[in-house]
Amino acid sequence: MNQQAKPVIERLKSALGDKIQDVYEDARGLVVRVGLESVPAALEALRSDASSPFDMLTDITAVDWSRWAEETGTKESPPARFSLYYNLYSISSAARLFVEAFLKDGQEAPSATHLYASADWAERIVFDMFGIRFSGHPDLRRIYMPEDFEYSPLRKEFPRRGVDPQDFPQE
Amino acid sequence: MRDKPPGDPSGRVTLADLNEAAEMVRELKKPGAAAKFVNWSRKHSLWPIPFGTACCAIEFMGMVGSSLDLSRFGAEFVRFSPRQCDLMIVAGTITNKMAPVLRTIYEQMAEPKWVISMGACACTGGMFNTYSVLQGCDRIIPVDYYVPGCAPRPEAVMYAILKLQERIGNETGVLGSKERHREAWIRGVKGRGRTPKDRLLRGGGE
Repeated sequence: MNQQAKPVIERLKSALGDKIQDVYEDARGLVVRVGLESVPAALEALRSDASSPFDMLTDITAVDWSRWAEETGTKESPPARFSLYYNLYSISSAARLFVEAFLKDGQEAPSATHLYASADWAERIVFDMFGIRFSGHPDLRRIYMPEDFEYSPLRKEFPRRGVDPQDFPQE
Repeated sequence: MRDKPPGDPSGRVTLADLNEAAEMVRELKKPGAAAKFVNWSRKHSLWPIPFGTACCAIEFMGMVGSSLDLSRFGAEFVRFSPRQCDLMIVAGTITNKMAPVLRTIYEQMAEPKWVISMGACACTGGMFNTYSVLQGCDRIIPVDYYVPGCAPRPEAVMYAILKLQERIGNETGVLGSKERHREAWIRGVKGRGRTPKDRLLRGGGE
């Protein structure tokens, strides 16, 4: 853990207590894992941090772990099917931090639109690509795919060439 | 009447062209001469509309620019209103979300109209063999000439335009646009073992 982020984590731990499930560092950087219901609290605490406020939500993305075990051959499977990643950036201290939260298929995630304006489109992308709904989002509809599209293309069971193979020779 | 541009090999309009035009006007009394004259006028006054959605549009700009200079061949006026154009050059990837727009703009063009599909993406979907990309713009509009390449050289697209001019010059009948479109459709879709069953066609013309 880099020295700059250490006091931030300490303050976050004192604010949220045992709601923080894990803090680890990997190739992406520093990741804080919280429960799904305490994501808004974690984001709010990080946004209003005393010395390095994470005032920019760069992106929200999700990962579908449903084929993780069979594709990697590991026995250790993730706690739930999907995980959300909130990519936060602090402009004043030039630090980056990820907030991670796992959720089951069909579970609704709390929206972060009341904290960050950029969460609006980011949550629409996650909804469009993964079918994860966000409760409290003001305008949750598709953003990339056509409005009459009925699937979630980045779910692992979705075929790469789509369900309408457009009379194309399959590989 | 000559098939190739007379006089200057670069295709510039020369005195010989004007003489030829005058001769054709004298021949207008003969049967079929009017069609020949109209075809000759049409093929040297193509107005292209670039439907540029990706990097092929950059090559298209190179083609129109001063060093290659498409205007030598009478296709000078690149217009961005479909109402003013008769040659659509589809340059770039067509996603399924963009497909209705392409179809609408094609239908807004006045008759007679022709289409050149430029590059691998417009012809077959190219390397974007995925759920979100239309696998060839000939699924929704009839294409006259396909230019392969990723992206094709500007010279390749110019060659397609020259071939198109050649064909326009040999067209029989001035008002054969519907038949021409049907032919283009059959050439493009059936010629590659496809049937136009795409659901985007629902409610469209053709």
